[in-house]
Amino acid sequence: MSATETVVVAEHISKRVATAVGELRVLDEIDVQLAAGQSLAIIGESGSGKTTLLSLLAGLEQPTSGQIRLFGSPLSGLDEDGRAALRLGRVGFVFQAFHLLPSFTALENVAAPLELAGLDNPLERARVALERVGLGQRLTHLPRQLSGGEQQRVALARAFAIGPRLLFADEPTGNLDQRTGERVAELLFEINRSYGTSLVLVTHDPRLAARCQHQIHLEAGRRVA
Amino acid sequence: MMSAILSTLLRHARREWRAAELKPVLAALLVAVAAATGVLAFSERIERALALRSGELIGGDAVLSSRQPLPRPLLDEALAAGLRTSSVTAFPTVLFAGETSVLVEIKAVAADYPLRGRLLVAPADGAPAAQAAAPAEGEVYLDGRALAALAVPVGSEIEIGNAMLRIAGLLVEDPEGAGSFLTLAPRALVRETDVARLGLLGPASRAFHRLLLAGPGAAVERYAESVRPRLQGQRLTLARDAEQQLARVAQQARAFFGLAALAVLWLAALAIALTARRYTDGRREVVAQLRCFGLSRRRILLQLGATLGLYGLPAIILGIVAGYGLQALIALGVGALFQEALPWPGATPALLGVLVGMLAYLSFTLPALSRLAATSPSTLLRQTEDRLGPREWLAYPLALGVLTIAVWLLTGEGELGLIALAGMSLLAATLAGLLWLLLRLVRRHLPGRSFVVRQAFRQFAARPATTLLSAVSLALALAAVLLLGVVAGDLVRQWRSGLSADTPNRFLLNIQPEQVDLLRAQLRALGIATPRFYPFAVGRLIAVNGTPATEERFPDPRAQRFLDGDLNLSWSRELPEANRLVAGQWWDEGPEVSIAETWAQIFGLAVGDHLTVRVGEREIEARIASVRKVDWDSFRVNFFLLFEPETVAGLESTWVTSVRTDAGQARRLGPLLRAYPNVTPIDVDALLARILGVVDAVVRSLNTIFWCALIAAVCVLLAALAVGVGARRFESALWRSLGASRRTLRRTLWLELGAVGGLGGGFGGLAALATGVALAGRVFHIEYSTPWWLLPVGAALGATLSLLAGWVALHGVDATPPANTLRAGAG
Ligand SMILES: Nc1ncnc2c1ncn2[C@@H]1O[C@H](COP(=O)(O)OP(=O)(O)O)[C@@H](O)[C@H]1O
Ligand SMILES: [Mg+2]
Repeated sequence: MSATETVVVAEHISKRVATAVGELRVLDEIDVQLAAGQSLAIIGESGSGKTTLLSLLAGLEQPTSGQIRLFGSPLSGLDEDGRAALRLGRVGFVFQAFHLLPSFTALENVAAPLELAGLDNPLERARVALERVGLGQRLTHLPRQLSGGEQQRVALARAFAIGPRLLFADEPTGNLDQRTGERVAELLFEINRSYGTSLVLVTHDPRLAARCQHQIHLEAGRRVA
Repeated sequence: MMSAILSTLLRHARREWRAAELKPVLAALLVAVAAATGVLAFSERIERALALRSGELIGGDAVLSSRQPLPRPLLDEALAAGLRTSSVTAFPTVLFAGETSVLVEIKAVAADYPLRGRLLVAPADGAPAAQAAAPAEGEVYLDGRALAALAVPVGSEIEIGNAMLRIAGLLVEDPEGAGSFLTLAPRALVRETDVARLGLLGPASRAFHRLLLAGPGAAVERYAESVRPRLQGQRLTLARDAEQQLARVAQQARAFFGLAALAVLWLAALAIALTARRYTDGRREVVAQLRCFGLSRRRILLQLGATLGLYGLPAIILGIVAGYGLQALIALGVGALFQEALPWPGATPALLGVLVGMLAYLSFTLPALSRLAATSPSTLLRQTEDRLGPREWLAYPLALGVLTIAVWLLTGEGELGLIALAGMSLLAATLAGLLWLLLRLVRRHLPGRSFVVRQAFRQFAARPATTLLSAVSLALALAAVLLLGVVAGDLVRQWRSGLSADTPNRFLLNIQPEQVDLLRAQLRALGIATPRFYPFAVGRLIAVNGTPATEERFPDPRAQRFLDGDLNLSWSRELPEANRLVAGQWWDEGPEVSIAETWAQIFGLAVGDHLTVRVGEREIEARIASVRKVDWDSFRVNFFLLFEPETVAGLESTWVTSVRTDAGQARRLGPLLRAYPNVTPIDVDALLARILGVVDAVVRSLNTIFWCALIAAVCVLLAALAVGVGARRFESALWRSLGASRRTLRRTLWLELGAVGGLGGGFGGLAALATGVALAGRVFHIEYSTPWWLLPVGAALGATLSLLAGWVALHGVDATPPANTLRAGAG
């Protein structure tokens, strides 16, 4: 695989959903291309379709029309398990609402994808990752025993601990105060740099978006920039 | 203001109907009420049938008896109370056929005799017996012994006093006869009007007067209550306490159904608790918001309570209707009991159903409700997890205890309920403790290398409350199912086969002392297992501890029949079979007597007290050396009073024995006994058949009750799993976003469910077998070889049920694309 290989490509993807008042065009004819190690910001107002685009790119749901290739494989030919297998060990997620497993400790949360990918010493790797985000003292805490910023850092550790080739982050700092948010963002870009991990970042923050190599600006499901 | 609140409440209730989580709570409530009502109603039908049956043993629902003609007011009052009456006069007299004569007990009966039960008469020699009316004027029915003694055929004339009567038939079954077989002489039945017409009863005759009464149960009870304090020398016997063996069976049947009701109710109550929890879980955020807006806890509680109440009441009513349907279904499975259809159940089970339903509903939803109402508004700001607090861990067992005590009181059955309660509590506690240890261990050192195994165990450990709850409810459910479906049937069948295999069906009375040895040898030659012979004398209880024994002193109504009637006495060197000492020693020194436990209760006696008994002219005083537990349903010859032989040395007596004969032996026994004209054989096959009929009905009803328990168990499982559906859906989505395949997640789930199910089921099997062994020893008095196989069967059944329930309750959790779930967030 060459350094200029694209990790994810989307061609003319649209997403329409049926609602009580008729069909809603959530996304309309979007094209995306992201090369390995690069970063992409998706910006736009609330409700403009950012999360939808991200989950389409990650294969968490299917577009109504259009083609997506993740790591070179077209997603349309795969069923859900096939798409999951494609993500396994290569994709990390950070959600706006953190989404940690509530009954797992911080360590177990981070170790989960490692174990799933069948890596050796998952707990040890998880501990290293948590130390990296500054939570070495919080290993056995449950999510509800952590503050929002700490939870997001656990989510971040979980996302990069497997050394993913592609990291999706959906407004990772949206629920955090400015200083904590900056700290999390700093970690994200550090991962992007030091591991060569491609980054898809959904954000409101123009400064954060400006730090990415590419930007997609959505308005009511259409790309305007 | 008031109406505004009311309309808010109603609006809230209407909205809640749309919530998917409310309906399972109501369904569980419906099942609880239906099960309780159904089983109690069926149990009542059996009891009523038994009461009618024992009525047939004394010819009515109640009998007034006296040595003197019965006072007119007692009769009038019975008529005024709406009871039917029929009088019977019994007296000894001698019948003649030519030179031969026989001393018989004549019973003069009215045209409507008997009020309950039936008279079976063979109209000619060798003709089959058929139901018959009371004899016509000028006619007499004679029983087999009287006919044999007179050596005349049916249809010939016999002489009574100065009159001639035609023998109209062979008396085969007389409802009054079966109960009190130790006082029987050969019998003759005549029409009451003949007594006066033919002058049969002289003024000096020793006659016994009886008034049979029949009517609705409540009317009989009322009459009995009103008349009892005014009785002077008369005795009132109610059908329900007339027959000891049948009463024992009735009691066991009631206990059994009580236990079944309890088991099903427990399961349904668990289902209520679980579904209520799921309902409240789904309401947490709404409540947090309401509290944020400033609604008080009390107001929220009121709103939630009003909603549950509004829907709960119709569910209870529906449950009662379903319960009555259920009992009809059980009855259908049982078929006719003693040829006749079962009597219809009354309204009592419905009332009990309402009571039990409300109790279960309140006590199992309130903890979850109050917890919900207390939801902190901060829940909105912070991701928190709702766990069972210490209050709930305490509230649920407490509620279960209250429910058990209620059912126990309602069914009036102590021992069984307590055994069951103790067994189940022990089961739940042990299982919970063991699981807790296991979970701690698992959390530290995850076993296995495969992700599936490790993940399954981690799921276990990650949700300790759900895991515990599922395992414990599964264990309880399977314990109940196995107990009802396997163990109880086994026990009853075994008890029944014991009863029919060697239970004596013939009693031989009036054996002269010098005949005992020869008769014993002859019986043995017939192939009849060596019977035990007991001496037999009749006396009266005179004094207790030196003070006269009077009815004022012993007001227990059961004491009456021992105080004003003849007392059957015996003596023995060895402790008879079917007797067990519960206090004192078997013969120590000096004049001694051993009493049955019943007597110890009725008269408040203990070892060391003294009894004085008069037999003929002789007064015997003896110290109570021991108290015996007598197994009255053994059908063996049993005595309330057994003396130490030296104490009664020289007392005149006859001997009695009981034997078991098959049909062939019975045929050869007849001619043999002809050589002993004084010996009275009593055949109790008919009584035995009735009792076995009840037992069979109980066994047949097990099938239906078993299905009830199974359905309730499945409800519980589904409810337990449904509690975690929201969390599982979310976690499944999260795992899949991390790259886990559905196959992996499903295998994890199967392993988790199978392990919880297997563990719970194994424990359930253990509980069922332990309860079975306890019941065998304490209630049925039979040897029961421990059915160890219930352990693996329970585990397999538990795993299967758990997987099936999991498939039903959880098959959709991984159906939606992870994006939707993650967008919606946890829960
Ligand atoms: N499954 C769905 N059903 C109905 N509407 C949807 C669905 N998914 C997304 N939408 C709608 O599409 C729009 C875009 O949603 P989303 O991608 O979450 O926006 P953003 O993340 O930019 O705030 C919103 O108006 C949302 O309500
Ligand atoms: Mg969004």
